[in-house]
Amino acid sequence: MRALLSMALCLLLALPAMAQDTPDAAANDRAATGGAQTLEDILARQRGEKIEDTFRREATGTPDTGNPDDSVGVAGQLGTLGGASDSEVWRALRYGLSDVTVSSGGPEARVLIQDAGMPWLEFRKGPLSTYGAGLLGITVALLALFFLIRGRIRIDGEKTGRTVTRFQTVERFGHWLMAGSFVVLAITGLVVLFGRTVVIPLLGHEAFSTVAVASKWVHNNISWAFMLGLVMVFFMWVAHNIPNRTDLKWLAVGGGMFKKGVHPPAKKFNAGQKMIFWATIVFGASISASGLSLLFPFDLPMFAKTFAALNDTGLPQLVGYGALPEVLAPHEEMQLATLWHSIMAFVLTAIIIAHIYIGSVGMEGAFDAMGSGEVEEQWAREHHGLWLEELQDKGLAADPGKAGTPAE
Amino acid sequence: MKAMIAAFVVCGLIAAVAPGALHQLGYATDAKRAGDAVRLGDATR
Repeated sequence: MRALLSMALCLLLALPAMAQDTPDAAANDRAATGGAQTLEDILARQRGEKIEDTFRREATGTPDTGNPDDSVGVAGQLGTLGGASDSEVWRALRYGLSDVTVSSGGPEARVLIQDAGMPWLEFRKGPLSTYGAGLLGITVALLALFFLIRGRIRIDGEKTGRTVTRFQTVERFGHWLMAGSFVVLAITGLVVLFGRTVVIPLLGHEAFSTVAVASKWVHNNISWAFMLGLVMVFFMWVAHNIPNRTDLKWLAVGGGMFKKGVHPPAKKFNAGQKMIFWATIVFGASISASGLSLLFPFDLPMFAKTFAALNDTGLPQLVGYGALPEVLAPHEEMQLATLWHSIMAFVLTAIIIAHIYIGSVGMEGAFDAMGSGEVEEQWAREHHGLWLEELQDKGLAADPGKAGTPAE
Repeated sequence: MKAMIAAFVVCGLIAAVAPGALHQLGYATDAKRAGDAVRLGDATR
């Protein structure tokens, strides 16, 4: 009997502890605050943790279906019978669940509160600017170090004095259309991003105002030249940029860039150039898509649809992000577009800085390919040997091996 | 070098023509955002 009483006493004492482990515990805790947030919620938010906020999101005085059209509207919420409290109305506005009616504008005009704006601003001022500038700075530093160690990559063999046509006029036009506009886009984009922190301290507010307005205008309008050049370059060179086994040989020796006298075989484009090509196409297309979304505000939202497609693949859940949001406010779409646009642009700019280096001061004879279109035959032999052989087979380049001697 | 210079000139031309072309195509932000109850750009009238 004493043992039974002891067991009963233990169970009785254990009940509160068991209750704390049940799913209803949190609800009970929140019930203690009348359904409002708890001290733990506040502390978690201050620690920057994401809190489960359905207790607030759903307390709007209207049926929560996640669709603003199902809401009763602000007027209904503020009915004469007091259908909803002030708090409920403000919560409905904050979470986009209120059926707001406006006299003009599209869906974006119905968003009265959009609290993703501050995290966007903080990310733009903080990690985006810091890591973006760091990426460009590190790229330039590495290239400077490479130049100090390796120097200019010279043509190793004796120059022949003969040239072969590397790129036709239309190819060079397409390249420079894209390249010229990209350089302008990169500079004006950096002015817009770093104006407040870099340009204003240098030039002052009034001068920056003029520079910023001009940068924005140029950035918006020269973007069409970039997109046209990107399309031209893609169709002109895609056939030459399909990866093949030769690229593995080129990559195995680092393209011969780190050691004098090493010249791996390559066709019209070597593996390094193919990587530049595909990076330009993929990043350029992504920058163009997000840029179009920004050029036509609220008309081309793409992130909610992209997130839905990604969720269907299960990838975000697989890497631990959970399901990505499939319902976004119009302003969130624009915010994500600016961030994605900037991130992609930073990466592509870093790649293009390396491309500009190797195509100018980094390698003797490289600029001629895009300058005059004619390259020294020995340069072609060392850097694109297989391509030169193809030209010789077609009779488009002199072939010393087949050339007749004066005696013949 | 002619191709490069020509491309740069075309970059400028495209940038100069783009705003007018968009307007001709009917895209203007203020017009798209305006409704019957809102008149934009007639403050001086």
